[in-house]
Amino acid sequence: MTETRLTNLIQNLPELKPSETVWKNIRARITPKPRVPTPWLTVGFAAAVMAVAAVPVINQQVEEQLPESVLALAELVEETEQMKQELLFTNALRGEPLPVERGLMYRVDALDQKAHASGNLSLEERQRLMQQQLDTLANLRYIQQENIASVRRVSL
Amino acid sequence: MPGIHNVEVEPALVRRLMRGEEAVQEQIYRLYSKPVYTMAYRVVGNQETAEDVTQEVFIDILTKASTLKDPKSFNGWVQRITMNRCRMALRSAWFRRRADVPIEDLNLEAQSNANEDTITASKAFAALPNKTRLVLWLYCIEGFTHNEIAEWLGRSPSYSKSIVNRAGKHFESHYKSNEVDAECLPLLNGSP
Repeated sequence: MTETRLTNLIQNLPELKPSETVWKNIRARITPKPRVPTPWLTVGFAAAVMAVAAVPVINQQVEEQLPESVLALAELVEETEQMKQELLFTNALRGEPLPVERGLMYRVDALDQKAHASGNLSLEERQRLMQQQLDTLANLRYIQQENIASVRRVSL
Repeated sequence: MPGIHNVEVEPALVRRLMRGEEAVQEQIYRLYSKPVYTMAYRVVGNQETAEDVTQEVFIDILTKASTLKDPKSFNGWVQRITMNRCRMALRSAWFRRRADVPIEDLNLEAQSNANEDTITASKAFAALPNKTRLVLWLYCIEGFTHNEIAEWLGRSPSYSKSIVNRAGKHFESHYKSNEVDAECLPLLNGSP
């Protein structure tokens, strides 16, 4: 088979369209989340953030007065804790995590300890550590979802 | 079938995206979703992973457009993001564990107008090894040269050429076995 014929065959393959779910998921991921009061799961760290902000509770009116960097950090904390709860729930359903998942969980714990251990971290450093935690948790979630899908597929 | 590099987009639209205008995000998605998804589906070989790859590609595009320097390089940028995401998916631990599981057949209902040639080509393509599908797609659809593919993979141009060459032989044997099946049909049906 000549290269020209091969190229023509492949170029004649039909174009495919993704389901609408793809766009909905993209929108959900990129749309900024509304700022609502949430009970803090990491009390100590939340207390430190609040101490910096010098307010007893973060509500909508107070948020508008706080510096952007503090709000960004608070959002990162909230997102990280939500993802941790989600992953803990998934683990409880699935049972024993795989070695690669365990490795990622240790990394999340190490970053968490680093964030809480020292009282001398600047706001930027705390933000950086929280972002690293969040990125690692996102990788862990991806791997967990793929593992669940593969187990489902093999059992079919 | 057009590739990502063939998509015609107005630079003004790209500039608006680069400025962070949310109103144009869906327009950009509608323009690029088919070629991006088609590449992802053909390369990774299953719908679920292809949709995940497509989502990650567009999240990258829509959140990082401000980092682009020249609107004219938008297509090339989208190509690179898609290529990298496809390669990451093929390398993932889950995908490696699926090595023993046959690549699922394409949803041929979606190709209800497909003729026999197209169906045979679809199946032949799906039966190729992972990396071969990626290289072949970049070469035949996205217009990459062997040198460009080799540079991206960190291999020599002769590696890319040999992959395309082997793919051609694979297609040939696939078509030949289909011809043999067609010749055997009368015998299988009991007629001389």
